[in-house]
Amino acid sequence: MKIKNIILSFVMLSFILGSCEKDFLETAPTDRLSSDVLFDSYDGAWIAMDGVYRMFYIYDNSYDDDNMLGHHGTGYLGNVLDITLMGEDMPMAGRGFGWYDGQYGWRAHRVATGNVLTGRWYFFYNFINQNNNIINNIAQVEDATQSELDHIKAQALTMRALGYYWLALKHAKPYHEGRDNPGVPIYTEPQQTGNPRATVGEVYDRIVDDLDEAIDLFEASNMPREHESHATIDVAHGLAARNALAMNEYETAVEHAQYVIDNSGASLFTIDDFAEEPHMLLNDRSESEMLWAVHITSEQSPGFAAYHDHLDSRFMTYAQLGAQKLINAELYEGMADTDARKNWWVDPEEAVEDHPHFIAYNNQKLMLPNIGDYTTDAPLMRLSEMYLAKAEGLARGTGSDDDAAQALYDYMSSRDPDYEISDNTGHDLIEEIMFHRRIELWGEGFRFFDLKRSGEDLVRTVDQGHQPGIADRMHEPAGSDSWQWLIPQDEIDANDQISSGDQNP
Amino acid sequence: MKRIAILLLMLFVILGTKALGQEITVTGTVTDAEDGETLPGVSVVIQGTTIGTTTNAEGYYELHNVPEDAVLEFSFIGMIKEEVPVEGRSAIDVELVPELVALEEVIVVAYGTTQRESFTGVADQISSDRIERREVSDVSRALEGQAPGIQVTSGGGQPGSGLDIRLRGFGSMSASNEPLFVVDGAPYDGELSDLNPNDIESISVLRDAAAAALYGARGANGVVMITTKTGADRPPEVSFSARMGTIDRALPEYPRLSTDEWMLAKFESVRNSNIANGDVEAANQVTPDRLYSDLGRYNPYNMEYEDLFIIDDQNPWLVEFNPNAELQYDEDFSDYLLRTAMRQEYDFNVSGGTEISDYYVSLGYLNEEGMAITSGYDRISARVNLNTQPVDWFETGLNLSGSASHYNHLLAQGTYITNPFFFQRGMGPIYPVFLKDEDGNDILDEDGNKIYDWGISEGPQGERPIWGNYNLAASLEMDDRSYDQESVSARTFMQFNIMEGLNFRTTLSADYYSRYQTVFQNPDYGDAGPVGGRGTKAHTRNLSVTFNQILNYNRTFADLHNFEFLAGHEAYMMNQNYASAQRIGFPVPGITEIGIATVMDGSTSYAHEYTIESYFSRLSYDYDNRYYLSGSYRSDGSSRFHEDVRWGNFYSIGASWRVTQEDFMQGIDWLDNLRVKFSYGEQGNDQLPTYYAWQSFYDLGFSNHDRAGGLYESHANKNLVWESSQNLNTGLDFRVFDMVTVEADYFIRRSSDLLMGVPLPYSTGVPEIDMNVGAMENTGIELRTVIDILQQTDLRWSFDFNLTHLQNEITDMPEDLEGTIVGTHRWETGRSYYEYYLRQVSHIDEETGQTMFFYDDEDGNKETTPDGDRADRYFVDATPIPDLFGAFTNNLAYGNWDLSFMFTYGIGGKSYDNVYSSLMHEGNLGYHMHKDLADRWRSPGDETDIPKTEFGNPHLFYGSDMYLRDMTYIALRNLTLGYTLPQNISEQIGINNLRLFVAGENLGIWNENEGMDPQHNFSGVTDHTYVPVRNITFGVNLQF
Repeated sequence: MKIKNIILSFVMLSFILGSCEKDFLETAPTDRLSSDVLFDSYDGAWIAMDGVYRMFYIYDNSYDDDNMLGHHGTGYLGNVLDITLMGEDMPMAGRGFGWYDGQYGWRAHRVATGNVLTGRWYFFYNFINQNNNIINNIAQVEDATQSELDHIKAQALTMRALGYYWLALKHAKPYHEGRDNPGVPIYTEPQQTGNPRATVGEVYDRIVDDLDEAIDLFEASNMPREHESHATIDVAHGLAARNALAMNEYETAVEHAQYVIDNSGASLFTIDDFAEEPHMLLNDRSESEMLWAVHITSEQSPGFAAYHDHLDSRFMTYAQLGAQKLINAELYEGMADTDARKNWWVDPEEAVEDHPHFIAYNNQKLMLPNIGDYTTDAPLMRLSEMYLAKAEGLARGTGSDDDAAQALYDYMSSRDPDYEISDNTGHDLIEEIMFHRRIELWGEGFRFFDLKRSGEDLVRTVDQGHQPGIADRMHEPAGSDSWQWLIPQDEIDANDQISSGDQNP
Repeated sequence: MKRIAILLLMLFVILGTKALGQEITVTGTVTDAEDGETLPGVSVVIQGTTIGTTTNAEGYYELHNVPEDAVLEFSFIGMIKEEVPVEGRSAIDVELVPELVALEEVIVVAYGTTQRESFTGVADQISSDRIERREVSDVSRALEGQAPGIQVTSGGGQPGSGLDIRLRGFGSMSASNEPLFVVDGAPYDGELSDLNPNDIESISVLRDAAAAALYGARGANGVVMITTKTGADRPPEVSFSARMGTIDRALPEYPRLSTDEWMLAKFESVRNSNIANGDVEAANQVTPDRLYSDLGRYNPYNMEYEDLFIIDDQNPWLVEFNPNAELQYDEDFSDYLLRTAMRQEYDFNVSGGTEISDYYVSLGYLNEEGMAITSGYDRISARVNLNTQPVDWFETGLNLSGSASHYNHLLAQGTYITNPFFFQRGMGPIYPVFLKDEDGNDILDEDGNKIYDWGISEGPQGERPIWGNYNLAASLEMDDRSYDQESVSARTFMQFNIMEGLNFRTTLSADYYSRYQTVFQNPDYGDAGPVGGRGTKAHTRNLSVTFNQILNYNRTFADLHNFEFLAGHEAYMMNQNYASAQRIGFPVPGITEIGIATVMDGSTSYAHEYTIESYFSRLSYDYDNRYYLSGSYRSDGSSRFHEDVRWGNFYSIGASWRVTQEDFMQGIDWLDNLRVKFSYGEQGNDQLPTYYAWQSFYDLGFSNHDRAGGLYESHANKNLVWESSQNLNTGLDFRVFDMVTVEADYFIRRSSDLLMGVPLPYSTGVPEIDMNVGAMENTGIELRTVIDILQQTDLRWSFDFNLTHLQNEITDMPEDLEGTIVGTHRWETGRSYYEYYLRQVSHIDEETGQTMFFYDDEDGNKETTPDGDRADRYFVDATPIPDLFGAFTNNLAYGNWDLSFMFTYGIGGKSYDNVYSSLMHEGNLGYHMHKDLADRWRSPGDETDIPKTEFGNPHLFYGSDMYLRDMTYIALRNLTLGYTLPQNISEQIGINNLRLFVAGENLGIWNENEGMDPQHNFSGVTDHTYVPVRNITFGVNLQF
């Protein structure tokens, strides 16, 4: 009996003592890292920076469990498609499966509870916050030189500026309508409480300051680019040119564009480039005109949500299943027969009835390199944009029409061998430059912004290829309330600093 | 001391015998009236005294000194009490008749068992016969209707699937509302479908704090305890059962327009969208052509589109469908996608034992086809339960079970085009399964076979405007969506009986499962057509281990004071790994292994780890089986919280009073077992969607090409603590006239410190942070009555009825979350968590046919507008929570026949019928339409509550209270008719017991809205999930 009790006591004791080790309740995930750990090292900081570049083509399907962005969730490139479709230059052949028809029909951006509106808003603020995390934590990195740190910080600043550029152009009245109009909230560091809407002036100042600082840091660090998706001093200047146009500060636009033209080392496509496989020009980041492009592997592609999936109608996906993205027929027909860019769309003369890819005016500009594989590159900034920005800046600003026409000629001679320097002046010249800008940058996220910043009406017509039942909004006068994307209701609900009275009318 | 007691006792007995006199000795055997088996352990008592005995192992009793005029009472658990006058006889054999619905006397509770009468908590125990009666593959389905307070969804009809369970309402908003499942004493992390329901001895549903508190940390949503069968000290018993049956749909399809009606509605739809400047006639002219092209140039009729529609001479708005039009083909996808399926199940088990050891061994096989083609489930399961007590101070045992299952799965949920229910419901009626030529005849291939129509202009038609490149009748077979699952579950214990009343028990439990999943999308058509096929292989492994050590002490003092004390320690650990890889580009059909495919399309892996450590104790005391008190205390630490705050303390107290044990009640013999009880306690919940809520992270899964990338994902909240749930219960139970048993409870269940993702302003870049905020309250009344209407030996009938009334209210909500809109619901203090918040339709404008919505103008007046975007949302005074729900069951036995049938019901509650809404929409011109659209507005002056159809005008059918539909229902959930062969016959063929039966599940579901599943889910919002199925089974049970 005694022996048994001793054994029992021993067994019990061993169970109780041996039960739990001290760190039994400490668990951590295997696929995540805390910010502290990440910003301990230079390599870690790069992980955060490359995460930002992934956002250009991330599949951001949801911002909360109940609101799915579905196949609108295409990261930055989804926004690019929004802004193109909201102009008049990309008629949709049909409703297809319904993706993007809210943007095309000018409905999605005016429903404060809409998931596209909310998802896009969240996208850019998430994007900004990622950069704020880098900007505010980069000093913590110990194993890097100052120029390495500056190199990353300059990129994060450039990207933050890009985020505010988009938000300002979408959610606020255009700059020319006044600096004091309500803009969007500004955050320069990570925080959990909301900020009020800053003024339009403050937001644009923020963009200018960030780009200026980025340019200085790029110059100071003078490090080579590690990947074509990374921002460089050229990208910063290019964005500064874009932003200056949005602010109608044309001289500044010309200066920045000129910097890129002179220093980037990129060169315009040649007419020969267009002759064979024109659709391969914009899906190759090594092409001469590329200033900045992402490389999307099939594995990292958002698949059905991919930008190209909505554009490439050789593929049995949305673009083929009824929602082909066409070019405004008037633009197409306005091109000279010798214009190489005509190859970017299906010539109505050569259209094949019932062939979803070869319908008249269909996109051949933004295509995947290989059918059956989502691997592709996508342009984020090209040199031709800089030539066009320079020409526009000269024409609209205080520059001479001759200089503007020359700048346009410098560009056009790479597109049309028969192009002769324009003898247009004034408004006509501006129109001509804008005409070529619309063609060149079709599908790359400019038209809605261009209309808004230059105060032009949206005019869509059946002749351009718009079907009223699908296009929905055929005309919108400049300056109307509809040009402003609403502030999402969720933001108003959760942000103490923004009330329903702060909503855009 | 012992000797003195024995002496005293002997003296007492001797004196006692002397005093009585005129007494005889009665002997006899007690048997079970149903199977003739002898019954050991039956209590035999002389009425009005405490003198009595119990029958021995052979059912034999011997009772001395029985007055000749006495009445003997024979009672046994689960049997109807028998009273037999002695009338001078010395041999009395008695047959006891089983109660039809036995309220179990011994119930399984946390870390042990208890007597029903001494239990201060609320628990229902469902015995094996009630589970075996159900033709279900997943045991969760057997719980429906068995006790009040259990609310379930229908769970749909996917083979092998279970249903969702809520006990006493909804305690959490973002954290889990699922009850804790405990199998043989340890929390169970496996799939319930891996358990063979035939192996289950009983299920205890613990609903209040006193019952569930000892699972403190994880018991906030109630506990469901499953106990598997064991052997006993008896000769081996072999049983075998075979069942075979059919499966088809339990709910009809939503009623939809006929092809003629649909064409007419589409004509109006396109015509109305074409009216320019009010010129209807002009619009009529161009519509046939447009319609023809918009419908993809499909024409099932024997005439051109322009001849199909006849415009009224008087009123250009009115169009009629040409009565001479005839369909040249009429194919319905449901004929090819749905079927009557087969289900078969075979179970075999042996159990028995000796004084020292007992055993239970089983083997089961189940094969269940689904009513949708390619769906199915099969399972092989086995179990060995062994217990042994080699010496009096040591006991040990092992319960080991394993299963291997295969799920042939399909995406039968939501609006995936690969969901056959969605596909067959939504496909416009003019679209054929097989390619048709211009005359509507099948186009045949070279071998004379029909060719599937993929809607991509392979015949004379153009592109189908709906789901081009899809034809599920063909592609479901070409795809593969399946998984194999193997599971092993083990429970082993050692118990040391240290001294009388004191033991130490340690239990080690492990659940392991592995799931290997294949998703293959064919390279030719559909989703993956463009990329040459897509294949995914994914593997999940999950191991959870629970290890506990418990000290148990039991003692009775002075025959009046009964104490039970328990103290223990428990550690729980879960470890899950997941890995998947996906490739595209399959060069040859038929091979689904991804190695053959050319392009990497995604791969990932991760691990989850989750641990809990707990200390717990319980003290129960009762005085003379009259007054009961119990209390428990438990402290849990969870890895989900920061170390400074991770420990939560939980407790419960319970008390009950058996009024009928009191002296003053002794004269009242129509009332038995009157008992009042009360309990209060606090439990916890840490079941957030994430395992690491207190930490802040970069998610590293965002590489940029060949460069590693990560994104800041979540804020840390180191103050996050357990969500707590305070439960109050007060109840009453009694039995009157030895016929009606009543159990009634009232409860308040209050949850506070709710674990929730609190929205941050999206502009801060992180959408939410997990916090403890808000409070919610569920109050309810539960009632169960069992009426033994007839109790004769040859005819018995009992009626078992239960109902629950439940109210749910958000009692506290932080300002940031107040008014949060979640789908069709909105969170607001003072209202239910599931209260609908919707646009409200005022009327259909008689002149324009437009839906008029309410909105508040600037002065706060309610105005109407056809602009759905302008419409305001309102609380429409409706929730999906029924006012009353429950079940009633009749059990009848006549001779060798037995019949039972159970109805479940719900009264009140509204469903937001998304399926209905999709059939009322005009988002896609090719989509099918609901029958209600036959009553649509057609021309000015029409008074109706269904708007016109107009393609491209989403406002007409914007989400609104138009889609709220009554959920009140009654369902014949189960019916079983059995015949047991008389024993004298069955014994001749060497069988102890042979029962033949026919059973049906879901034989009828009645709800005023045809097609709608009134129990689709708790939030009330329906979708295109797998329709619930009806099952009719023939079976046989054999016992050797």
